[in-house]
Amino acid sequence: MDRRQWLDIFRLLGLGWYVVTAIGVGVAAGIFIDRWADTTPILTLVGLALGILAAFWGMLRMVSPLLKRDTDRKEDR
Amino acid sequence: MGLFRRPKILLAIGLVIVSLVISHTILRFPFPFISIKPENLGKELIPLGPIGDFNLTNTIFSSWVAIAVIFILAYFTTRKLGLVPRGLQNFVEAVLSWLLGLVDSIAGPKGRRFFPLVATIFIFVLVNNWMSLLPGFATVGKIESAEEVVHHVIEEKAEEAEPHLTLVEAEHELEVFLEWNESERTEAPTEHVGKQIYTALEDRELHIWDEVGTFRVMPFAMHEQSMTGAEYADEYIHFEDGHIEFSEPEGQDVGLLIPFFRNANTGLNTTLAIALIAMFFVEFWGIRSLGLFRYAGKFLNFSGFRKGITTGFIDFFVGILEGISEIARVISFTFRLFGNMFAGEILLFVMMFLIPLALVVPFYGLELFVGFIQATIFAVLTLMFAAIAVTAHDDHGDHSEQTGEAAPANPETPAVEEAREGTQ
Repeated sequence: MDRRQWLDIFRLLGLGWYVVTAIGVGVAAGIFIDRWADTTPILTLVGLALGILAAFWGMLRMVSPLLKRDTDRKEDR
Repeated sequence: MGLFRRPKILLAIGLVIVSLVISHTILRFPFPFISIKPENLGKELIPLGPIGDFNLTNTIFSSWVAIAVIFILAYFTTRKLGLVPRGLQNFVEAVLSWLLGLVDSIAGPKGRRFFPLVATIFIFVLVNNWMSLLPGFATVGKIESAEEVVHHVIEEKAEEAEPHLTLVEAEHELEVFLEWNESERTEAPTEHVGKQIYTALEDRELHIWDEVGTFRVMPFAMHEQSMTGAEYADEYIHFEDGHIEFSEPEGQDVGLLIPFFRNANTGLNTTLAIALIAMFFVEFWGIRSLGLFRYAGKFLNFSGFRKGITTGFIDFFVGILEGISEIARVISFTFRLFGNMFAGEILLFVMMFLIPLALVVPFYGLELFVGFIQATIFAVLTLMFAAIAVTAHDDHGDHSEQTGEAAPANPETPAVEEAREGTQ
């Protein structure tokens, strides 16, 4: 394995925690604002949805260069 | 069975069995008290006057030691610099050039400005992680006596309790009553307090030391050198008219070990601090290379409205998602490092408790590996986020149009792409 592949590994290793925390941040912010504004549970659900979207968006952002490179390699052959 | 004809395997199995027997009879390691909060070494050690207490925790202390180690290493490396590196200088140069290669291959030649931060994070985290595997970490410390354990727990409870519990602390004595009222003081419900003390102690295994010296080592001990909190409460705590008296077996100390050293990354404070510094610099570089308004446009994106309302809303929404993921990054940085290192520490403790001699060593190897991996992940991700932050948002917008051009379509990894194109 060369250095490039190792770097890809590190990049992907960081992904799981990112997904978890993005969802967690969304829900926590939702609960917090809900308590403050007394609108339970609307904003919690909105926060959950936003968190999940942010998680997948960020995951896509981090993975898409790798996927793209992979398809490029196949096309090159 | 071919397994039993091989002498090496038989020997290994025999050794494991012998060590199991020894470890559960003579060398039983007491189950350690695991606290997520870093243990406090003392509030009064560093007086800050009117600002408040400086809680010198063992994680902070260890991080100071790590900083000192790095300083000493740097001093001895740079004292006699030679054109041809030798010895220590050779080693440090090898590590740094590996890091520099890492930075170059992710962020390109322009990424060299990220190098100081990335290398600092890598070295600091790595030194902390590896230092925590040295003997003395988490095992040498001072005693927090059973009495102090109870005091701390009751103090915490007193702040939450309704109506407020008021405490008067004295040597080997704890007065608990509900109000300042003198009459109620004598009628304090001992049962209630006793129950609180019992719950504060019952699930903890207290260690017993002989009363010698000041420093203590985690007892690699026989059964007699530990007792459960419940046993201690039954025998050595006495209740009388709202007074609680603590005593100890003669010539011995009973309590929990407060280690002087603990891996700084097993405290949330350290990891959060590193994560905040990292993300602060990422935002700073982003603003400096794109300008404040263009950088803010990544998160509050109104430019899409020129193309139409639907595109505008989608782009705006994507900007908000960017903002959330920016916050999530800080927290994921924090908890990734904290979680991995704390889990590693507990893993070692539990393995030491279960199979002290045989199974600890491989796990030390694993922790060596995990410590390196986590330091690298922290550094590499910081570098990656920095590289993303300094590229303009427009580069990302239209992937479909740019599929032909490899380098601009992949602004995060210019050098990687270039290198690949060169080789193929």
